[in-house]
Amino acid sequence: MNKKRRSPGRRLAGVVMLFYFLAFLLLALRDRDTLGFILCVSVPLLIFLGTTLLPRLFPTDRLLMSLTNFLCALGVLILYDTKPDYAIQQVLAYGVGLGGMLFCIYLVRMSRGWGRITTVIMPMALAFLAFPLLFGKEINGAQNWIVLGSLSFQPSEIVKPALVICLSWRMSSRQHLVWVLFGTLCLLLLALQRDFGTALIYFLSTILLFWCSTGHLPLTLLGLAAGGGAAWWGYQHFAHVRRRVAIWLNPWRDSENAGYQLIQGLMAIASGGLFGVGLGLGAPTSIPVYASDFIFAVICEQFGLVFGICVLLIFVALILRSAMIAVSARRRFHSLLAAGSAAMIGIQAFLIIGGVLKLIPLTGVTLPFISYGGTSLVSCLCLVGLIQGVESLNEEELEQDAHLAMLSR
Amino acid sequence: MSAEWYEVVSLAARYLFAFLGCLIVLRAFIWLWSDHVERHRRLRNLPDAGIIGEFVVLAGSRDLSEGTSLPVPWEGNMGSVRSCDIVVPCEGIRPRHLFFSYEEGVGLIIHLRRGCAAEVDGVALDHGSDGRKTPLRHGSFLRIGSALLRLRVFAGLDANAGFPEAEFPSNGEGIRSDYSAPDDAFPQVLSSVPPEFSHACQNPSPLSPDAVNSVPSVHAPSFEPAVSNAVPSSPASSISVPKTDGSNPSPLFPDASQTASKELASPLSSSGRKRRSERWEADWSE
Repeated sequence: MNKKRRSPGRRLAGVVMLFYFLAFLLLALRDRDTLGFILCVSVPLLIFLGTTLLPRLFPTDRLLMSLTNFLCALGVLILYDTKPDYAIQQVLAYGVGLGGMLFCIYLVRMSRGWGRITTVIMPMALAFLAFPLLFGKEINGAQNWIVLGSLSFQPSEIVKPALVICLSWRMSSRQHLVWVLFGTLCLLLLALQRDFGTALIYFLSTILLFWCSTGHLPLTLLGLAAGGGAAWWGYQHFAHVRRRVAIWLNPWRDSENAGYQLIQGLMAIASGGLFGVGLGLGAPTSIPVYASDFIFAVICEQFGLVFGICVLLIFVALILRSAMIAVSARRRFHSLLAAGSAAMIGIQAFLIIGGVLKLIPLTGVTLPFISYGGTSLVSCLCLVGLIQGVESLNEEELEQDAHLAMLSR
Repeated sequence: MSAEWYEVVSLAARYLFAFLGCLIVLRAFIWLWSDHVERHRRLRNLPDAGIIGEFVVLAGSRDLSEGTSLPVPWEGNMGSVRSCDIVVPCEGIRPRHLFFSYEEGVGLIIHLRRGCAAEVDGVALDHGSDGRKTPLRHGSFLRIGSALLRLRVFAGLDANAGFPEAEFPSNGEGIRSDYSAPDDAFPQVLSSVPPEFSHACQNPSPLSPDAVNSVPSVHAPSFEPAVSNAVPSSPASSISVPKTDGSNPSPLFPDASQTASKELASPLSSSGRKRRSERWEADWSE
């Protein structure tokens, strides 16, 4: 008797749905909260729809969608456990991000005049980055926030997809002077805001894109060396940077003040052990900025190191999938677009997880998809949208080839 | 649920969550791998995937014999080193000589690297020249270094891929726009190249004035509509090239036009394409 095998997509979706159903149910039983019960049903349902229904309506890659949904839902779960108000805001931001993702998919699919689009985007991006210098608010040492009433956002997050699009197009059309100028101006504006974490993401993504575009290793290494030189100069001239490095080298020297955050994070990870202290238990709120920068420490505390490694591997799977899409793309621009988007997500994840684990100096950036932050979530989903757009074009071209091959037989 | 009971349940559930986390990762990677395998399986059956046509070598070198066909991807580099998308190991060609990209409705656009030179249909290009002004189309000639290549674009990529000005003949009822040019057309090209022209091809530089005059003005435009839509409006319109000595033009592709006529009866049975697929499959398996 033929037993129908379930597709890998459905198998994955089934496990993810079970995971979130149980997790939200547990928290809902603890608090006896209506919101918890609503989330316990709606999050698995959304994951099911996102994995099965959405790819039928829109040209999206199901695996990328599943991985992204898993990470976004994990963020909502942790935020609901620690601060339910944030969870609601994060769900709203996810809705906006989903719209942004679909827009980016169709932008990649439909757009033809990328030269004109990037010509418009580039000055807009620079103006956006310059905006906080004039009207910005300084938070945690960096003047990179714009506050409009109850709404606050980081322009540098919104510019990320624009940067990837502009660099990819200018590199693919070999307009080297234009992209070098644009990239340098972006970095300069970020340096003026003292937002070195985002500047590092921009810089490393640009260097990686350059290497993907040209394969010129000596120039790439030269660029990295120039970045190293700039970092050294920054270390010498900015007390803010020197303090971060000093905390990284020895957080215990000032354990009650500057090193407090890192120490609390490390202690949370250590107390979680292999399997965690249990969902809803422990003291995640004792870590400063636990909802955004240090959310990985909260995950490790509640679910344990095993689950923390699983989250890392999910990021690896996402990057691998994006790299496969980039390699399969037939156009240089599409290839760079997918590679640049993946690089930006991967570098950001590495920087913050490395910082939390004390592998590298801490940079105040968010963990993609998981951390609390509407702008960050929307920006990351837009980057995924760009990758999805390239993948949908790849699929379309492959189907076209199959059709032609069938005709020629 | 009381705080004590919650603690007990949560402590027990952490093992389940760790297990589910591992299962999610495992299934994600299984999906990733199965998709990778599936894509490879599909590509194995599609030897033309990602290829817009081929360059046929009219004049090459010891390492690149005449008649060799070089598959042309949508975009890439052409040069003498193996890392290039199209490797042309001939005299006068630099490791990375030029970058090319195909644009639907325009043709294959050439961007030369600094210090490199090339000729498209007899028009000399240099670094910084706008490749869009001289795109390579179906049947165009490209000369780099000592090599002379002729482009063949696969029909069916697009309804009018590379042939914006080509029109369907009025008597072309029932003919598909995705008709593929017969593969045996290019061996005919090689066998029909006049000796004077062949000699000119093998001379690295300068190209003989006769060849320069004959290549762009006569070959390409007359070749285009005949193969793009594959329907000569009449037998008399078969592709021809004037002899360099100035005598009457002789049919360049008599067999090709005959094959095209045969194909009109059954436009879908493009046996040439199948043969090419088999040939490439054999090449790739090596």
